[in-house]
Amino acid sequence: MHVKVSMDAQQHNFKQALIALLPKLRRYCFALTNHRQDAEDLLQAAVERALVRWQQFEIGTEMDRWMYRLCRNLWIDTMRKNSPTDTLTEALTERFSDTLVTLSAEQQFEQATTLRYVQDQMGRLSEGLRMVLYLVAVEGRSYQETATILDIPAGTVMSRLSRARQQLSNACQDISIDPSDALQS
Amino acid sequence: MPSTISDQILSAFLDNELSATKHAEVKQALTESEELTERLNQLRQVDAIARAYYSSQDSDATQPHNEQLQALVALIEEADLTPSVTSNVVSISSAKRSLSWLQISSLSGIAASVALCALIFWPQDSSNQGIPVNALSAQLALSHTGDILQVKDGRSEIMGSWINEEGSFCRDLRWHTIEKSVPLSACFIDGNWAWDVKDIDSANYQTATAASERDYLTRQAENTWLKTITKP
Repeated sequence: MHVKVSMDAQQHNFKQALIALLPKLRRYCFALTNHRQDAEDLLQAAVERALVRWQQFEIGTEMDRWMYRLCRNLWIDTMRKNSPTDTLTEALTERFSDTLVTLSAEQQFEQATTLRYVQDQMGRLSEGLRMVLYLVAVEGRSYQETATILDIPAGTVMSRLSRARQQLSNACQDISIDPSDALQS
Repeated sequence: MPSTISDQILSAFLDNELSATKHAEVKQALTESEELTERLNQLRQVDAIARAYYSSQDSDATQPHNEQLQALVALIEEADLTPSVTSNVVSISSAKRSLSWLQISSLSGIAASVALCALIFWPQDSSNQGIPVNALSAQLALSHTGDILQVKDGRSEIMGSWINEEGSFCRDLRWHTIEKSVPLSACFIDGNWAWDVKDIDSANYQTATAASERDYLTRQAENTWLKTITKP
């Protein structure tokens, strides 16, 4: 009886932790795929696989890392080769377009231009560069943490991150607007 | 001198990943060079762009009417995680969802798992469809699930470890090249890896993840087995 209760508690805790992690996982999947629908499909696949393999998750370890690995393996094995190359997503454009309402016509034009440009440049980053940039600059992970998650040496994280920043920075200098100001209206 | 401060060093400075000495050196250089400070700001700006770009995903994820996320929550809450006596497959309720690549791959995975019942293990042989099984054998004995090994033009990734009916330690992996992705299995028998390489040219070949249906060992159990097989 005690064993049964304990197992139920474990299942409950696992489910709750997984639900709490969904928004973060979704963002990670988007960073991995750079495509809205692919990210949704990948997230769903990862959740289903996690439910099948939940007993492999070691209590006391970080679930986000476990799920990140699972997402990445799924992406590599099943989806990546079929991924479309376009990077512009209508949903994301709509999301940003909501904020355009309160801006002047000039600001609207500038922000829409910037958005398209940033989306395009993010898509031009290789997956390796994009994931390092995401984990360090967006999630605030250390180089060592990032190296562990991506199974690459910490030195590689450092060089990839530099290349990613260089590429995006140079791209932003090609246009005469301030992308961060425009995106953070 | 500012000219000796590369973008890579500046980038690591931004992340506070430099040694104390190097950090102080860069800090001093920044006070002496407007050009360097400007470059640092340009790199810092990239982070702001990235955060703004991805934060839009967070905003979407918290919207109450986000049907896809709600469906996932329901899927998790309704899932019966109790292992079945006859199957390792956990029962998942049929939550409303679209027909995606996932369902297709899952179905073909089940089909392929049936086919796996009749596996024949080949002896270790480097001539198997150009797959460098000798190099991969070394990886199997030393690496954990999730580890990736680059060999020539391909990449090998360990997917999981399991115990077969004879009690042998077995591992699934995938061999990726530009042209194909091949599922492989190997079992450690009498001191050697016995490989199963599916005939990828056969009409019956499926890229399905049959191995994904297996009950893989935990990392701890995998560690124990790896120590056992590498014991002198």
